[in-house]
Amino acid sequence: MIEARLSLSEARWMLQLMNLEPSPDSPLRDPLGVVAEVPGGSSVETKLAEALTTRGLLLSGRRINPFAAAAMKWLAQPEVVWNLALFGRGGAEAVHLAFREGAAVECRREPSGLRLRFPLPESEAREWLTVQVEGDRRGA
Amino acid sequence: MALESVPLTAGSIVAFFSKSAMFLVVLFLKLCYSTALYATLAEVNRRITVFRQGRRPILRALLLLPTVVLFCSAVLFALNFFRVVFGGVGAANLKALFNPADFIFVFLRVGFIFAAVVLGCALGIMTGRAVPLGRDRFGGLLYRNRGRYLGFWLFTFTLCGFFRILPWGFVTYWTIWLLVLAACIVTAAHWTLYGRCRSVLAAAGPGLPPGDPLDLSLGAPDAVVLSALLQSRGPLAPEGLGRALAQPDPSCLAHPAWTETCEILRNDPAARAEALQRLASRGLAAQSAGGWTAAGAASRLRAMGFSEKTASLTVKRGGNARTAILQRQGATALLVDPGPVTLTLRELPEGMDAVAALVESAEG
Repeated sequence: MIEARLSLSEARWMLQLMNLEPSPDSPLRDPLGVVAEVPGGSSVETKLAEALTTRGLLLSGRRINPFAAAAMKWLAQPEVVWNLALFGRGGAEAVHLAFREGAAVECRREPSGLRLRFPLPESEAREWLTVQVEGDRRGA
Repeated sequence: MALESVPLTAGSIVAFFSKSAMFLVVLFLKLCYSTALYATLAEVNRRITVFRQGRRPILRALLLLPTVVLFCSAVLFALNFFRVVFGGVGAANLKALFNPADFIFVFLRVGFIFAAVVLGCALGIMTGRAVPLGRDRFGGLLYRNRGRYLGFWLFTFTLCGFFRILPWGFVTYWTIWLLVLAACIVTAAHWTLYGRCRSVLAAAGPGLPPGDPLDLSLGAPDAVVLSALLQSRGPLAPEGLGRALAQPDPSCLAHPAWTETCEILRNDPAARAEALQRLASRGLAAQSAGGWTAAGAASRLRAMGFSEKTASLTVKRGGNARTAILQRQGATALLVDPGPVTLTLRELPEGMDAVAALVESAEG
């Protein structure tokens, strides 16, 4: 399982590189709806490219890491999305699971942007949900 | 007259300009101070507004506010320390205090400030204990605090800041006394509230009392009205029900269509009465002398109080979305299916896989 943290600008720019727009069901649609497109050739773009390259999410020639590219594609244009909201003593928490091509990506909103975990086989989605819902009961 | 009496020499001109420059510097410093003071006030006011708006205040906010209040009060107190404790005597003339009568006055002044601390702490603890605290149906904190003591502190702080700029010593003394009182009230009230919140959050809910398994199917108006009855502490008169719907239980808003229903019911007494009659005919609500209360299976729900853990799962597929909610309290698991037209509430048998039921319900 790969875990990656992306700022909203980084996520927006990665989608721009892939020529993708979030579909109506996508968990990225709302958070990225308020982020402006990154102008090509700008200093912002250079900084984003450097930041992503440092973390191994961008390869030479501005190619997106294939795993990250797949995760962004699943997130932006999923076949099915589970939006899970958990309420309890610790307040409210929201987590999304976007399914496509027999696998899923977990996406959480954080103050600094998004936290992604991927890939998760579709067959393990219920187990994932059980851990999320009953985590405390199982001592997780 | 005065100008005529002063001989115009080079020395007097230099003295005049140096005094003018000094006056401007002091004025500038006072303006800087007052600007910083009112910027701080604006920030405090913003935080108080955010704090009041929060339906579920974080425990950290309960500690953050008194910290800000104490810091601002301490800065203002430190700036006025000499004026408050030693009266009009400046730091340079402290040797003039070697007079037993003055010592008595200093002790009296310190004693008065100490009395403000004791009185403030006592009033603060009383205020903190008087604030109603509870749990909402999803286990969050219900916190009904009007925060008037924060307004009192803000007013006193503003007054102190204003009189700090002016040279009237005795007004400063009394406003600082009020500020110490207000700061102690806020601090003690928030610490008391913090302790109470922690104990409320640590307390376990009573759970669903024994009885027939719940299996309810309600139309949106009935669900909204029942939700208000469950949230109420006592019987609700029809007018009281209208007021309760003005601040609906979050569960009423689980489906966007219900917000509209809630609004309609709030403004339409006839629709409210119809919904109550429907609930009464199904044995879910009963009318007593004091008003309407939950009855039958609904009274079991009401006795449950809150669910320790709630999970809401929305499955989106091809532009369609469907939501199911799982509420857990100990061994009890309730599955709620809030459709656009009806709400289905089902108690799951013990031992049943609640997560599987949640997924099945959400996937339709």
